[in-house]
Amino acid sequence: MNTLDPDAELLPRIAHGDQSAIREMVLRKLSRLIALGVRMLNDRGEAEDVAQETFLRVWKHAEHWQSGGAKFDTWLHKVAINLCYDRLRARKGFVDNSYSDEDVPEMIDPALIPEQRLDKSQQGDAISIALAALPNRQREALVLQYYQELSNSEAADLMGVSVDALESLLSRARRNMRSLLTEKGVNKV
Amino acid sequence: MNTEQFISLIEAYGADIKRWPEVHQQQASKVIALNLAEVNLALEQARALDEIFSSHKITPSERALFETIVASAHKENNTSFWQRLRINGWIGISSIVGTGLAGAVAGALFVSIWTSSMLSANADGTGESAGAMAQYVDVGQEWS
Repeated sequence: MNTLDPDAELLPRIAHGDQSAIREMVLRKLSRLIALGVRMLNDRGEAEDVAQETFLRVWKHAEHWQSGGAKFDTWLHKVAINLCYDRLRARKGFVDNSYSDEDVPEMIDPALIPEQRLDKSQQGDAISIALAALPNRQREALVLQYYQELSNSEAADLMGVSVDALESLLSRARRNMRSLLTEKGVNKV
Repeated sequence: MNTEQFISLIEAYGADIKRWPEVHQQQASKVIALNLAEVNLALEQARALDEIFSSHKITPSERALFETIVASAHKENNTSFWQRLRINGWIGISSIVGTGLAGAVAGALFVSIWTSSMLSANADGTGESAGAMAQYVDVGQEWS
């Protein structure tokens, strides 16, 4: 097994149609891809579509995969993120705020989140809405680094920015999330 | 690492030092050990936000989606197999046709050489087929 890239050893087997390798790959990555898609798109159905499309790319490229470059998981995230952006761009009212330094505008519908302390389900919804309200690049940085647990250099490479720029995006994302969640009664600090 | 740098990093990566880049972890632990009010406040705020982030759970995917995706791999592999077979098929057909053509050329050449040698051998009209050949020549002469 390749200790630097534990997924790489599955790819030649997948290319030869090895059933156990295919199942193992889906087992390892499906939940991660769904989580990525749901948090990027705030839409479960679209996230599942993105996951399926991402796996089709995996099957297609397995035969040609060469170890030594980017880690497979990073490549997988890159494919999925690009597919998420394709879907975001297709949405009505999409704003390409990739490089915006602005803080988030008031975007959460107050009717969705009552003033009193929220229960678990409502808190989950509030977080989803707050994530969706973030500028795209801030959301991408937070999702990749915090939720997907990519290293800072992997996330920065994937996003095509320096580590300093990634840290700046993360700081603004966390600050905006705190502001949005505090305002709606989720965060008390 | 000074307090300002620590707070800058905590704002980016949160309160869990294990989630920080490895190069900063050791120094961050030393700053935390100083027990400064400013640092403790930043840690408390970041920890509260981390807890909220961590509470955001995504429902696991259903079995049906898992099986659909697994099946899509077999479909892709089968497509690749048939594509390869088609390419190999064309190579096979080309080989057969090429071999056949080469055989035909070689055969024609052999027949040509053999016929020439027979004609040379029968030029004096003593061969078994002299009559036939003479007949052929005679026919030609009639048309001329």
